Amino acid sequence: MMNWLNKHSLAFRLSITIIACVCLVFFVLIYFISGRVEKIIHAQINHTAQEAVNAYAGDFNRLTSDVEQIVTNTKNTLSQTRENDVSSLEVVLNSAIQTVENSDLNFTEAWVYTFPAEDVSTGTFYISKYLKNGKIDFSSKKISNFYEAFPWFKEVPKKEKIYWSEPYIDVDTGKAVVTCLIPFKFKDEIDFNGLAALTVDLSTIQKSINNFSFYETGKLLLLSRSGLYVTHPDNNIALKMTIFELSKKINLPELETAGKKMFAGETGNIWIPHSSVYNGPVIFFYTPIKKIGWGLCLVYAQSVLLKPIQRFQIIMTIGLLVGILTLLFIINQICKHSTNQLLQLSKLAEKYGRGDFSESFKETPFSSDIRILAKALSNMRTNILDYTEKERKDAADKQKSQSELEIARNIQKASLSTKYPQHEAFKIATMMIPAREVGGDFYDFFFIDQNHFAVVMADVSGKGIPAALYMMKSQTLIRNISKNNIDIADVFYRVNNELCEGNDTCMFVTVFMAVVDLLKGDVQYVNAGHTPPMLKTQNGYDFMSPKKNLILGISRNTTFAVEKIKLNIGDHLFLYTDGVTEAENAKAKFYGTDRLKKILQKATDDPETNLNLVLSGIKKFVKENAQSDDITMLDFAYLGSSEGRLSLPADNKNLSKMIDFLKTDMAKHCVPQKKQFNVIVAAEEIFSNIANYAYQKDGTVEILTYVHDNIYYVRFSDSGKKYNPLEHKDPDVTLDLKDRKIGGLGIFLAKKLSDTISYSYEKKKNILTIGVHLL
Amino acid sequence: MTNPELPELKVEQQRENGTLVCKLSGWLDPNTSPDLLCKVDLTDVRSLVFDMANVEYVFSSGLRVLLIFQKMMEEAGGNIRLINVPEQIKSVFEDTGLDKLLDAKA
Repeated sequence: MMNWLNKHSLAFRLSITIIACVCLVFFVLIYFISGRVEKIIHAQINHTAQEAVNAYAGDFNRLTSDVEQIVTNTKNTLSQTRENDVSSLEVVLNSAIQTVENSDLNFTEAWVYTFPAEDVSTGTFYISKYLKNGKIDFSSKKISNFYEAFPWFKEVPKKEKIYWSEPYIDVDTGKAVVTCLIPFKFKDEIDFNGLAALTVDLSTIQKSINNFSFYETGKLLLLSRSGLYVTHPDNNIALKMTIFELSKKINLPELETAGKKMFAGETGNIWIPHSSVYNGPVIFFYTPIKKIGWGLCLVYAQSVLLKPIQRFQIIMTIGLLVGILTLLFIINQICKHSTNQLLQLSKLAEKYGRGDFSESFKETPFSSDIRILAKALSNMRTNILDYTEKERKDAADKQKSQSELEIARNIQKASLSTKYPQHEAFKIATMMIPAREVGGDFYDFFFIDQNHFAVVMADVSGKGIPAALYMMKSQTLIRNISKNNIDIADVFYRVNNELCEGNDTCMFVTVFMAVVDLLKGDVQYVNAGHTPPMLKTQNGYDFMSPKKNLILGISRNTTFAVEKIKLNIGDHLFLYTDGVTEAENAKAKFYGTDRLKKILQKATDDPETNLNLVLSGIKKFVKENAQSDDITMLDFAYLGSSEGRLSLPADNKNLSKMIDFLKTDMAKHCVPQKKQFNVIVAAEEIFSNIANYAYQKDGTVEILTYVHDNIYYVRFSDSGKKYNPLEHKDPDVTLDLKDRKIGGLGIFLAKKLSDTISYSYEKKKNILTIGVHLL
Repeated sequence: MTNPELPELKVEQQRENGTLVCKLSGWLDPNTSPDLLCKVDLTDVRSLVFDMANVEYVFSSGLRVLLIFQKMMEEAGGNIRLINVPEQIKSVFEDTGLDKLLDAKA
């Protein structure tokens, strides 16, 4: 059912439901009210019937009373007269008839009958009646057949009491009449010898009764004492049939019962299922006219009752239909309106769904419940528009900032040199891991002149493009002003003043700069507000405690304190920015100086390796946490001066040249005499090895000497065929000479005579290094 | 045709009753050492003595020559001695374990 309903439109469903409910309520109401109304109408009609009947009965009683009064008066007067006093009789009767004439009664005649007490049938009539011309006619006649004319008289009791006859047809006029009489005794008579009577024409009564109308079809029925119908719509019954006879005839025992009850003095009504006159069921109302023992009935068709009810029902039904139609119309209109609104909204929603948000609307024209949907849709539109606008803006911003980031990063990247100079006196490595947003860190290294090398580590305040530009400016200034100028104090002074120039945004830069004398290892440095660098000596890396100077870019004409240290061969300078020590892990803890120092305990002589070591330490510490600042590091290893360098053709003829060189060099480095000899012997061996075997044609031997960790090293390198002499087995010097081959002795000597010896093959060069302890 | 820049090795030989004393002066290096073998005539020599007093360096090539002489003398039933070996050269012998092979005296 529900499924079936759901297939139809909202209007249809609503209509069906509401109409069903309304009809149910209406029919229940109609049924209920009909019952009530029927009862009320029934009661009302009964009451009206009763009143009508009572009124009529009252009228009838009054009429009969009048008649009785006249008769009684006549009797009273006559009982004071003699029987033979005809003149008196005439006066009395004339007066009586005149009285009647003055009343509403339609009488026929007033008469007196005198008779001998012993024989009623023979006597004299004295009659007074109106003629057609309006005159009163008094006449008398003798008769001998009184009973023939008035057969009912036999039933009249011989008492001085009013007696009403049954209706009968007057033989003279042929009219239905009824007679009211009273027996009496003339003056001085012992026995009844007279009758005073008034004969009343019933036609008037019949007429008035027949004219009586009750709810159009209702009829009054007058019944005489014997149950004879005095009036009846059916002429075959009126004055011809009694109620009892009719009851038998139409086989309706209820009618007989009603008649009996009526004549017993009861009032009531019965329902007769079918009446030939009314051609349907009727209600038969009865009441007695007690004075004369007659009865009065009211018959009316039951349809009289139904009519108002039917009318009520028809009106109700029409009302219902009109109501339902109106309701349908209204529902349809409302639904149509709502559906239209919904349709309108759904069209909009579809439009929005396609991404077309051009059409906006106000919620106000919508009905209250749909307004919620409309509002939601309107809100959705606004939100989506806002959101897309925001997204678009965000994307644009992102793109912009991304490109800005890119620019800044490119500036930074371009500024940072990654090409390390190849130099015997030092080895350098740098590292720069930029944060997502450029932080403004930079490092630099450059030759000031042939023997002076500068390393710089700096951090510009701020981030992004401004920082990148300021970084570039700082770097350029430092480089340019440092050119051929080893007065580092002057460099800082001038760079600072330049940076102060037009620095409205109060940007600044922290700088550590060191200039190394590559020959002597002397270093002068200035720390302008930068994190203290680390120095690696024999004891490993440790933080320096440089004098504090003002950061650059803030105060004009600042002087900067220069400090000096001497680097021994193998010493390192480790420069970094706070991106290293302040690398942050997920618990918001900094990597810190302790961890830095600790990890550098594992440092090697190779700067590159050292930087990677630190980086791996930081990565292990911060784990997945996003890098917040640039990580910038520089490791500078001082390898000593390049004085001890010699390049010779690989020929034994040059042996003495090499030995001369070594002698001078070792003397300079204070190599002990005995060690000097060992070195020379070993060196000769290596040199002649190279001279004899390394090259097929001509080649050179590069000799480098240096001191590191109190060891004097001599490094031989040749680009001849790859050969590791240390892989040779040592000759067994313990064997007897006979059993021993004379060969491989040279490298054996070299091994024995040096304190350290190592071989490597780097850049297609055989490198053999021997070393002797200086102490 | 000697290259004035190249170190030389001078040999003074004294023969006496089958004993040959060779006074060496200069370097025993790859350039000079092979010559020594040619310069020394071991005919009828029972005992070969190298006076090392004026030897500046003995490199492996020199040692090799000395060891060759030793081998030759041993095969001929003679002997070989090094005398007046400078301390530093002697320490080279000691450092390399050659002192066990060569009879070298200061």
